[in-house]
Amino acid sequence: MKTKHIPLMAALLSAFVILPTQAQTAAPAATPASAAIVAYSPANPGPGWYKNLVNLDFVKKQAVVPKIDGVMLIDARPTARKYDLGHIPTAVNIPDTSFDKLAPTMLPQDKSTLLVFYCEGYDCILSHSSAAKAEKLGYTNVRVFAEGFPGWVAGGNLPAVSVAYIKKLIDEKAPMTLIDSRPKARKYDLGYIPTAINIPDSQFESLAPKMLPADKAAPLYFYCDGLACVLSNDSAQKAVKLGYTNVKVVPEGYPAWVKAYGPGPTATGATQPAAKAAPAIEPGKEAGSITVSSFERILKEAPDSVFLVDVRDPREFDMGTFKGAINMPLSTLEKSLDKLPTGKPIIFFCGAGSRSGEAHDLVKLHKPEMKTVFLDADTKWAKDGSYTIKGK
Amino acid sequence: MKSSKFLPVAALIALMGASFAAHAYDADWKRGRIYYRSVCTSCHTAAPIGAINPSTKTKADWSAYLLLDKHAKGKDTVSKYVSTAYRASIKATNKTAEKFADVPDKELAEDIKAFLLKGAKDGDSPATCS
Repeated sequence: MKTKHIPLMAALLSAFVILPTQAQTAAPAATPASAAIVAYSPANPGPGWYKNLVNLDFVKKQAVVPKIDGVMLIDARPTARKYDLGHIPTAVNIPDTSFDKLAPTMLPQDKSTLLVFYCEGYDCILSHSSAAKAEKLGYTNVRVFAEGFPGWVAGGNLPAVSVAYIKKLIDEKAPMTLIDSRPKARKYDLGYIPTAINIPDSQFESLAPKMLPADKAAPLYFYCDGLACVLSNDSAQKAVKLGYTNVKVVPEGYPAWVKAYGPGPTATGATQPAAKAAPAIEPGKEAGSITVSSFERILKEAPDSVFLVDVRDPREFDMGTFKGAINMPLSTLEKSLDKLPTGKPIIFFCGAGSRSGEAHDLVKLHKPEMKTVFLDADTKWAKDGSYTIKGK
Repeated sequence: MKSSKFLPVAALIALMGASFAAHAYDADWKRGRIYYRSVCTSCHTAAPIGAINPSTKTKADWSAYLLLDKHAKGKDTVSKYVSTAYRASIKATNKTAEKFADVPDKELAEDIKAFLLKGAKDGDSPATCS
């Protein structure tokens, strides 16, 4: 949405008529009365603004590392043009234009989770739009940080960038200093983001003067071990105190780099071999099923790449099952949908392929965002742990 | 659970018989299976009558039963328990009924019938409830 200017009278009127609920919101300074035009603000919300707003102090308490549970900060701006280049630390990116597509898989299952949306400031409507959509989905604790990313930066807070942006800078050989804040022997030496230097946070005071660029305006990017790691944030704060003016953090850190681009170089100069990809799930004849050969390959080569869920009754489960499988009987599955493991594909199985297929259909009905398949086969287990599988 | 909300398997079938006729709908036995388990079986299991396995009857038995459209020995009809009105009445406590709230009665009835015939004693894939 473009910047709008509305007449003063209308602005004043709207301030009285549609003053939004501002839990924990400090009202910014009033617009100068002498101005012929006024800008939108929490005290003077624009058309389409979401009703529940929060201010910078509130957001600062949520955007902390280690990331706190029960809260999700959501950047509603476009990914490559905005989010990647700078966002509030710990925020995930659900562009408003892709909300309907991404929300089912990215928003938390717990509808009471605090969701704080933001975008590009008072003139940006994206966060308000997404917040309204989230409320329609049933989320009960939705807020908008109307000041958005510009407000975050203006408040003197560190901006975060994505690993995709770091990759871009590396590829373009852009001038930057990338700092790995993790311990040397235990972490950095075993693998780091290409081009990164190592200044362990514990040695920042002694090493920084020697290793950081003399130019205090030089761009510095700090990372460590992901959203549970505070080292990069702490070092970045120390760099600011030293007078550096262009300091950013990469909160998702090295784990996100490995996930996206594979392991980085090591201290010995060798690049770690990329983790062997898990065997693919090959679809079987029945829709939603997995072939027996594909299932057995996964079981043998990468059992940790999936969740194995045995949907037979406990009595049957106790008599033998696949190693690592958990038991969630079909008869109680519908009431246990929220207890299904997430993060990896689920393979449902039973003794004959009927209950496993039904479990798959049931989950697809109620949680279509989950990746599930089922084993459509006659399977028998022996007490010694061996088994035979005969496909349908 | 009130007895009026029980959905005997047999009653179900009657519904199907009535809906078969000149309908070009391509029944979805998988959807019928979900409804059968989540609404019919879950209610029967809670009642003294217990769950009714599709494989306890032949296809002919189920077809005949459906045509009768009698539930609880004629106390009410099977079609009642597949109706949108019934689904609306239990949707607050039954996720599947809520999901299928807008499915036309005839389609859902045919889905369930397709499942029962497939899971019948002499069906393609005799089905039990466990």
